[in-house]
Amino acid sequence: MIPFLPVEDGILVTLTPEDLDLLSQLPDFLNSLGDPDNDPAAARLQSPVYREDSNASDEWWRLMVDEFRESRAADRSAFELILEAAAAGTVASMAEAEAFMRVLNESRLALAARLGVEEEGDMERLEEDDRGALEYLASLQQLLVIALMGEELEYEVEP
Amino acid sequence: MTTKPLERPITDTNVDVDVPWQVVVWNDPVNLMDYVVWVLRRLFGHSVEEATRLMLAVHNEGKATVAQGPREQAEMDAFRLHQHGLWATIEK
Repeated sequence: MIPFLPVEDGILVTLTPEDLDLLSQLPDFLNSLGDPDNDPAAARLQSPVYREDSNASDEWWRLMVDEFRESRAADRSAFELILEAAAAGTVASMAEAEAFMRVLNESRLALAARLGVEEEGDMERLEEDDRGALEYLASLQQLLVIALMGEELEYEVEP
Repeated sequence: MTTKPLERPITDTNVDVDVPWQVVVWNDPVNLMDYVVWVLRRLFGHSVEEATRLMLAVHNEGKATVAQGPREQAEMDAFRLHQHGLWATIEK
């Protein structure tokens, strides 16, 4: 089964029970994040915008946090609506598919931060189940990227 | 994957001194490389080649300047990048 297939008016999303089992937990997980001061997952989603001026960063986030909250809540609603219909296959508009993508990515960032992934190589040190969940979400996200871009990229990465 | 030679230098050199604010994206171990390309294309309208060049600069050099302009514009760009989970900062 192809989970994300470009069609004329968007992306056809068709998810397996296994996909849905994992994905349906993500909105609650994201909604349960704590305060950035004591939750690394929340902190990752609110990283400093001014690196060398924490006051300016805090002020920026103070001004923008409501807009982020609204935008992320809208993304999660779109995500949940797609999940409700995805067992039988549903066409998501491009905007809805992009919202779906942001929730997938946000979940991976938050989950990885919660598990202590901070640098390259940290992922390899995770417990098998945790790593498996992150890799599963990454592979779904990768398929959605390809569907939205309409092509697979080719480039060489330095070792 | 096939080799794709870089046709342009990795870092941007055409910084306008009159437009001091730069939007910098930093490398992180979680964001997918193809996803970063998609975000840069989506937000800045880059060609796939330019977005890929910037993504590889982030990956290889640890960071890359992806946009520059007046402070308000830079802050809006940072908002949109954070909205997509990229680690973006603003600097002069």
